[in-house]
Amino acid sequence: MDEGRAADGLALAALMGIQIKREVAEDTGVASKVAERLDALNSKDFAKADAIRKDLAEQGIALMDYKDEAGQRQTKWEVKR
Amino acid sequence: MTAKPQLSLYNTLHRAKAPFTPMDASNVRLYACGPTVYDFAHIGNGRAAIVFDLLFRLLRHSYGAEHVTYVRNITDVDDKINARALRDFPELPLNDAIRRVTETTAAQYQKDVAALSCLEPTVQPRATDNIEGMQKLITTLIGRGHAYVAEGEVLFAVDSMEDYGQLSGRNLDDNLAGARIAVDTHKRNPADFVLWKLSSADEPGWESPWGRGRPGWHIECSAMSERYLGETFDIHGGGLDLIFPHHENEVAQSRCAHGSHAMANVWMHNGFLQVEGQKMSKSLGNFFTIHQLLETKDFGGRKWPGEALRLAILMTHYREPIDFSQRRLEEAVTLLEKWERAAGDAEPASDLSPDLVDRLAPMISTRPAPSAASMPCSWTRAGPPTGSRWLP
Repeated sequence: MDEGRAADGLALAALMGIQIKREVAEDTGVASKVAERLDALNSKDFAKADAIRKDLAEQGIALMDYKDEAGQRQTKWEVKR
Repeated sequence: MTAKPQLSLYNTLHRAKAPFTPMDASNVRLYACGPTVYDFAHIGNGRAAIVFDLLFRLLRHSYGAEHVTYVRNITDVDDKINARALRDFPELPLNDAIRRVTETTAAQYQKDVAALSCLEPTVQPRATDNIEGMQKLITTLIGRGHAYVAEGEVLFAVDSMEDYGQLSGRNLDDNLAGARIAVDTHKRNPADFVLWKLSSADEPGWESPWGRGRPGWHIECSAMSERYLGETFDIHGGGLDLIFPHHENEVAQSRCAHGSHAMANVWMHNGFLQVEGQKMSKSLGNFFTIHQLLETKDFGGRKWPGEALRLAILMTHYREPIDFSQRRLEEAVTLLEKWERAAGDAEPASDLSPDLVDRLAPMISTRPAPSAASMPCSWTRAGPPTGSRWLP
């Protein structure tokens, strides 16, 4: 994506009084839980994986699974507003 | 130094848009009617705060942050406040009870609008700190033959002003006695309105030449705007519902007291807000406060972040009516998330090019903003909201 456009858009949104980027929270252990879930998935422990996903969802964390270029299962996550 | 965009503003007084030129570019003066502090502010109040905050921000951007004075008053004397004080604090002396109501409500309001990213206005005067100024105005109005005393009230004589009704476009014949207003026999014209009224022992009051009493609603804003912005200033704003009688009567008071041609050069009014397709009302169950949306799960079963509320309001042009709904908030949240993802590691540009700001200016000019449905594409495909579809 075009960096300049993103920079302009952020500045314009700021002029409107709208903060698009949120403060990045301190590491709350999400990354390790995501990794733990990935391990569970890879060892076909789906009950555990689902429990972790549900637990994170309650904290407002959404997960998205995808395959990387090497075909390995990966997980992206973000904090829902 | 890049050229700043010239704002074009719709003026209720002329029912037309015109390029805005301040009286003094080193001190651009804006007044907006603030809250009457007896209860939590609702989303409609939030809309007015956001709209005039956006205007304040654009003026600061155009003229420099130190060159804009924004006054938003706090109405802390009102019969609704008295009633609330008696209901909530029956054990306290009335003045203490009133102070409790106004102080907690005003503090809540500040908290609410701060969560909606509204900047603090330059001055937030309280009506009760300006009683002297109101009395001075009333004395002048009586002296100039624009007001009279009758049955414990000081009344403004609308017949004494040749062009009364200019702002709202109403003429006095519209206000035929008996048709819509009860006939008060002590009024010379049924449209005459109260500047001062006597207080009973259990009502708040201040000593005055006309006896211990309290001000009418409209005189407050005439006194506070004069004190901080002068006899004539640039822009006066408020909700559409304030045009008549509040703003009309402010104009009458200020112009007749000062012998001036204008109280404010530009009058701006934001549109109404409905909730889920209907006028917001407690009996319909669609009445929501800013606090409820931010801090409780009363609306749509979840709390909503302040920036989503703000965007949900700004997705509609300020003069258009808004139908506020759960769907609209969800749409705002989705947009914010898309934009955040698209922004990646970028930092805000330090200087906005004028043509970008030109895209923002229409939000407060006459051109309607695009519908919410047409907005998101430009950001998600090509970056943040700089594309032509974000703002026309």
